Amino acid sequence: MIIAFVAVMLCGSALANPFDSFGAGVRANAMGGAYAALSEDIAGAYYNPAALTQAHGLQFEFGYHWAEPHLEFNHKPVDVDKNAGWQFGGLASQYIFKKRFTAGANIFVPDDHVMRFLMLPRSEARYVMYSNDNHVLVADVAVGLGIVEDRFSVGFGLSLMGDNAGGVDMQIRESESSTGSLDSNIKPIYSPIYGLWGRPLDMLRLGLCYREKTEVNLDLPNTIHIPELETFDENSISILAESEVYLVAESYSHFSPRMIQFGAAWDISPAWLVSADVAWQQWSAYHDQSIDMIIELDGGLGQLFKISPQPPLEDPDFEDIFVPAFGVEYIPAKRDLWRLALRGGYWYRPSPVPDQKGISNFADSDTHAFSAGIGINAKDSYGVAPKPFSLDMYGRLRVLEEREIVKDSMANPAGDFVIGGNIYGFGASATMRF
Amino acid sequence: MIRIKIHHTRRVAALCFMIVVAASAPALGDALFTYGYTPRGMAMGNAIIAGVDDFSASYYNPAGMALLEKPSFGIGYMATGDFLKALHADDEIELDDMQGLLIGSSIPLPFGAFLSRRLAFGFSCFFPDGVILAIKVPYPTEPQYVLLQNSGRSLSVAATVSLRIIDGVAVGGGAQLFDNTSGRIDATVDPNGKVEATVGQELTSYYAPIAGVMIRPELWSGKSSGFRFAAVFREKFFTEYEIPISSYLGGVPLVVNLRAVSLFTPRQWIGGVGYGKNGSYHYELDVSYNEWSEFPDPNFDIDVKFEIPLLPIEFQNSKPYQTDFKDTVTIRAGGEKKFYDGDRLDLWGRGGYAFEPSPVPDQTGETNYLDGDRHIGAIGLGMEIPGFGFSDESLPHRFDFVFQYHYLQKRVFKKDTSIDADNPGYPRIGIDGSLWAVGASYSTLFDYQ
Repeated sequence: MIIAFVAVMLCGSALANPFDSFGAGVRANAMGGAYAALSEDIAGAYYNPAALTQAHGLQFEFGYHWAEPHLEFNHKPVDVDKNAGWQFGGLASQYIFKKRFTAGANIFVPDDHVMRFLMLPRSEARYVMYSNDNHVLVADVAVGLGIVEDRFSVGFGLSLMGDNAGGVDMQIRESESSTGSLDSNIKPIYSPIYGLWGRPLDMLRLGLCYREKTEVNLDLPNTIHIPELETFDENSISILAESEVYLVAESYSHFSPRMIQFGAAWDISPAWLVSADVAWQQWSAYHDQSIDMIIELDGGLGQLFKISPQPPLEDPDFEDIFVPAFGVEYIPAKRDLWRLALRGGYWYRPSPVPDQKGISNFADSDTHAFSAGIGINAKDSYGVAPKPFSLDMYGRLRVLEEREIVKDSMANPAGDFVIGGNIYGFGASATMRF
Repeated sequence: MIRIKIHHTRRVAALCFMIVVAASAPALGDALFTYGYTPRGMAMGNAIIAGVDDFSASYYNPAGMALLEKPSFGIGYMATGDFLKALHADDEIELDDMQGLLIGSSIPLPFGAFLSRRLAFGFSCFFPDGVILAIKVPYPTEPQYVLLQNSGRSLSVAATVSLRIIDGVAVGGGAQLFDNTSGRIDATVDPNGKVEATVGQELTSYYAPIAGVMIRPELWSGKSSGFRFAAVFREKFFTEYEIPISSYLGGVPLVVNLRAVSLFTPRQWIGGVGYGKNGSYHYELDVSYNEWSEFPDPNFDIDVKFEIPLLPIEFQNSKPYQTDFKDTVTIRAGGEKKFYDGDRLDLWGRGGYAFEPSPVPDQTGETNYLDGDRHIGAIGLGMEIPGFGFSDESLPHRFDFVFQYHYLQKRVFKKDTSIDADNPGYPRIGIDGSLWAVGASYSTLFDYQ
């Protein structure tokens, strides 16, 4: 069973898109994702579109994120794919009817693929948060509109994903060459993001963001036609009646829960900034992402092979959770041409996954994430860059608490197991402003 | 002073080299190859690579972005339809109508010192309604509009950069993102009839490069009118689909490997000459060499492994079909002229024509790829009004509209006598009819605020 588990994990990691799992920007990551009230860079397209109005002019950001899981199963390492890719985006700000209007885009492109689906049998063990759904391109676009200059703004954004439907229709033949057709369509799904941002006091910023859930449907119907098979052509003896094989694979994938995130940021002094957020995540809407495979055999093959009806997938009963996050930024040195910022953050995510007492084996546990970062904001003394540019980095340790899963029945093929481990992350970005 | 100039020239040369090498730019999807990108360009028969000076530069010729004075942003919508008819076919062939949203921007980057007015960045996107990537592979002998059926079946996103070498001379490049589809379907039915399955599918990305150069002598001579020259290279692109289906029926393997290539758009070499006066008129002639001869077999490549015990049956794999498409030369001509110059409103009239020869050979064999030479005519209207809403009235709002009509020359193919009578194209099959497209866009200039 362990071998099977390891083999499966070779192929991938799972829930929530990369922004949910790994954050949406380098500074935001360094500050533990407590960013709903800050969001003055491209990360705002995810954390809070309304807060984008804090950004002026034009800016481009380009960076790289890397996360390496070191997870265990029964105290032995399992191979879960790393998650790494490029993040880039830009912001442009303009006054329209004397109101500040800022538009931005934040895009994450994984190294290896634009999108990956990996649908497993339900009994197959998997680290449900890290094995598939992080492997997808994410594109968030957002606009913020300042209602009261530098005091109150609203925002709206969209997150783009894609449904996948369609399959092949084939004729495999003995008397002539086989042939087939295909009709496949990946359709766009747009999930809205709404935000409010305010600065009731000069030192205090507040942000509120609603993100609709995203979920991809996979529907792959495939049909194989086999004409009547004959042998001894001159006598035309039928040895297998005309047959059809239907293979229909259906599943859900790339789930990201509906979220409401509230944050506050306090500029204690010119050198100190602290932020705190809490996010409600509706994991109870999660569908089992195991494969629902329907196979039907008609005609001659149906007489040779029997297919038993498959039991329907059960509700996985995930729970809604609250995720607190905290961030701090300290500026120890500020000179005419440069400024140094040190950052730190923490968040805690209780696992939404219930005890796996039955046939399913979704592995997850309460998680603590600790992050630290550094940022350099510099002016170009040669006059090439019109505004200060930034170089930012962060490192993060995510600790999955050890969790013991005890099955209801000794006859359960998965048996009892223990999970836990760490995920190491790193990211860096450069930002140009105009 | 001289030393500084040499120093700057080296940096510019290095940047130029990087851009050309990295030349990763826009070769947007098949819909844009067929109809064009923006209403302004479409109305001029897409003869605009030497005269493009707005947000569409990222698509038509990225080199043009570096010659812009201010950033430009545009958004628009395009819809297409057809009156095509498959002649002598038993069944009508449906060609999906296509609508989609276009968005683009060309942004000169306001660096200082030696990079002053040197660099620009841009992007161009086309979002067909309800589609990110759709692949349709009909049966090989099924009558099909082999080139037109894939219009609007792929979201297109491209990013470009541009470098002004000297006043009036710029190069640009970029890349368009495409996806291939691969994966597997594994299903096992045990002797008791219980099903166990694993499905994997992934979209992997690749990039089709584009590069362009634009020369506008009037910008270094200081004149307001003159000839403009441009050249654009677009790499071919296509998408691959590969998914093996492996099922085990009571221990008997039924394995089918499937592979197809779709959404092919040819490598293009485009040259253009224009003559114009800023803010008044522009006329242009473009010639494009399209390498359709690399068009791959668009049908499924099927490999079957299915051995039923005790039955002496051997299934056959699919067979390849030769396409023998030929390279084509497309000629495009178009122009625009301001015909009303008011205090608060300027109006532009546009017109264009293009001849797009069909690369598809006579369909005398088993396949029934229907296509014909196309005469493309277009008219358009442009409106420009001073800025409102924005802080600066010098930043105008522009609205552009286009109607484009494609007339396909009637074409009928007579099948060889060796072709089976049950071939859907037997004894003859042909194509006749037309396509149309309409579009509207809004664009504006903006400042860095």
